[in-house]
Amino acid sequence: MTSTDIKKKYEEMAEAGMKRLHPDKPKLIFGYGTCGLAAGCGCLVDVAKELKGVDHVTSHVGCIGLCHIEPLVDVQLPGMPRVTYASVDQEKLKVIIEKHLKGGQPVKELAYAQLATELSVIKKGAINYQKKYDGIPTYQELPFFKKQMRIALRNCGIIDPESLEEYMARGGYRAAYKALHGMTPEEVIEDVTVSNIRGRGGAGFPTGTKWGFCRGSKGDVKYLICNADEGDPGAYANRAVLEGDPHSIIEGMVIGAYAMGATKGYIYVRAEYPLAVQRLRLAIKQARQHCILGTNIMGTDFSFDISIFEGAGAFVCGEETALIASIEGKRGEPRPRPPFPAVSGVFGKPTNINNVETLATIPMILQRGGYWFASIGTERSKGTKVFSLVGKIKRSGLVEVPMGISLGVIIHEMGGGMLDDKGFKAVQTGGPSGGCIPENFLETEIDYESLKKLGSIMGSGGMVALDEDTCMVDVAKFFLNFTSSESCGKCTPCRVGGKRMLDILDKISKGTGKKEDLVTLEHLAIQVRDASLCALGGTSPNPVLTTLRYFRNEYEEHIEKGGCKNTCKKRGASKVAAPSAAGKAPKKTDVPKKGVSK
Amino acid sequence: MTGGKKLMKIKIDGRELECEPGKTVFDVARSNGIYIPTLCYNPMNDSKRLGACRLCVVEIMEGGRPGLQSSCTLPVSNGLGVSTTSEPVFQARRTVTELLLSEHKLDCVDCPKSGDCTFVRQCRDYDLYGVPVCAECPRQKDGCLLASGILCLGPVTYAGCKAICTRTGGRCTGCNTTSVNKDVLKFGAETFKRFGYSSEKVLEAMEVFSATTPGKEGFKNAAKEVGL
Repeated sequence: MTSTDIKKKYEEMAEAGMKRLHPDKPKLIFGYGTCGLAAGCGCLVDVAKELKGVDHVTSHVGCIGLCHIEPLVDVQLPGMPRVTYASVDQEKLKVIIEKHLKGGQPVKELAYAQLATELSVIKKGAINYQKKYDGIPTYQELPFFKKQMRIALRNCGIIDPESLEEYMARGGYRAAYKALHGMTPEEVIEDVTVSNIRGRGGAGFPTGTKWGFCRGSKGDVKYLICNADEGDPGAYANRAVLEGDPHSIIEGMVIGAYAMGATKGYIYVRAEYPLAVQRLRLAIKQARQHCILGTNIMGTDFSFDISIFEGAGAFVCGEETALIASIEGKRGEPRPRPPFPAVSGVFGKPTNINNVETLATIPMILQRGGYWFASIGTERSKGTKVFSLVGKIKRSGLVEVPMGISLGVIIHEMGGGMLDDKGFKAVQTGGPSGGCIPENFLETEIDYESLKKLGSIMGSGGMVALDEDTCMVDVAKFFLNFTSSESCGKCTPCRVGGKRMLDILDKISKGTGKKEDLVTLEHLAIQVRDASLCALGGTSPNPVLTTLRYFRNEYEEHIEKGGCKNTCKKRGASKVAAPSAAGKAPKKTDVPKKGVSK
Repeated sequence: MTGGKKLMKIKIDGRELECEPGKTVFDVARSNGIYIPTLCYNPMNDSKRLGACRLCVVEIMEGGRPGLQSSCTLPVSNGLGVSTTSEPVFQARRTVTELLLSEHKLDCVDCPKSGDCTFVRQCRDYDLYGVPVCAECPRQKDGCLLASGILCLGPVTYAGCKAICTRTGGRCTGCNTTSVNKDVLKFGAETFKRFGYSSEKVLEAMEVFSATTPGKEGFKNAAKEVGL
């Protein structure tokens, strides 16, 4: 096929997608991501299948970010905005179908919001309805969405991830077409460099520079890898993109491969995301059918193909050299750099590794230009970042915000504050490798540098909010326990150092610690941070170091009083209270055996 | 040297050195008589450099990203300057040795490496007294003085003297004083028990050099624990 044929075909597909997105029949939309399914969306779909007597279409979309009120069901009537119903159960669904889908009138008392205008930054295929329902807030009026700027999540929750047409209807693969037909690889790299986008996997290395290195290194075969091995407890930003918009990653990879001259791509996705793997496989199959992957992509002489590599669940395999070893079939252990992957990566060939979010953002940078992207964010960190809000927060979910927004806005405005109106204590950013940031730093503008200054990292964007009842020694212990059990055991500081730190923390939280232990703990943490081989060991002491920095009094309380007034006390109290409450006739089942014998 | 290849200049501890490209800082240091400790480097398998033990870390002072790097995997480059003796290097190496020691099974009497052990040398260099004199004593299981009925205090005494007395035929009199390390004391008590000595006899022998040290009290507890 010639390039004009292909362009015509893509236009037709985009038009067909537009019809799928806005059909002339009533449309029933289910939030069909892992979060929706876990909340019981599967049963609702079954109920809707038995629906008779109304001519309608059903669509399954990915996660829109409102994970705290799943399952979400939307109804969209021809020419009218999409109305979202939250926390739907079978009874509610019957009412919604009866009144809205059949009756044509939204159920205002159940409706959560209406999607009348576009949420993201896209222009082609943007949602824009002239009419609006009265009495239902629009998405933009919700505090959760008010300050969001969606670039990487532009299609999540809007399109059916299993439909290539719908992705094309919203401007999909236009950037790839533009790059392959109208730009040289150098121009693509130039555009990405101008945008100043930095790696979204956490370390924040400028993507344009990284691509330039890989382009510059010599090799007959080059590899491009998408790192979708998201293993942080509390982070699921990549999963939303993988499940809700797999084509955006493929498009980003095609552009990257063209810029660097890579011919082979891997998506390293963890096997614990079965739905993501399934949708990626389908997306790759569709892309191959429509000249987007394979030989002679889009009528040019450029060839590139992608395979999926399922990771077996090791946290350390998110580290790039360990990931490379894993793809080669070796044990997932990091190795010292240099040589950097851009020089010698998979099978000794030049390799480039990018995070899911970075790759999903690339098409928008090419579509709207690097300068547009560079105008968003702070001086040194450009663009937007997806954060997954979890923990003791009212509205947990996914938000994409411009860099430079303050932590307080995310926690208190978008997240709605703490559950049960309790006081805020700290927020753990960047997963187990990050640090706990206390309340007096909530005004800090988020970017890579400011978080690093506070002792934390950007990481993959997990944000665990902790309320006033949380014991910080427990928090440090939990995260350290995770990293030390996920340590690959190659280098000494991480393998043994983690264990020893955990021993000391254990002692402190049991109330048998001494004052000197704090000095030892801090010293050991600093040594492990500085002497470890890879980033896993280098960042694993962060939770300990930040809690020691900001919540030293809690450690001291444990040492002096044998516990603290928070969650620890409750646990301690139950132990003490049990014998006295059952003082007259202690039941053996109530008290642990040791307690009875004493 | 090998013709055609341009020599590179690097600085180790302020010394300007010339070296061939492709070498690592570790190689250059060793060939110029600068000692860098290591445990995971195996000269028989030179192609595989793990960088795993982290004992060979050096601090990069110029010509690279500042921080600690394992020298066995750090290729030389023009203008590179490293320090092998700075405070961070010392602290990192000491911590690594201490961590290894924390996982180490003390069985120095039966250990074939006794008397010529890189790890013990490492502990000595970094002032870590987690090993007893036995670790430095060249006599092994069968030649152990305790087996021939001589009450040698090696199992409970601080190492660091290079076991000069047992090397020259005498017994350890405990002149380096009794260790306070719990692991060492436990090992000592177990060893004495194995060879059939009573705790009274050992404590009597300790009177000479360790009469009032905390190590003696510690040994009493350890003896109670293992039933000596």
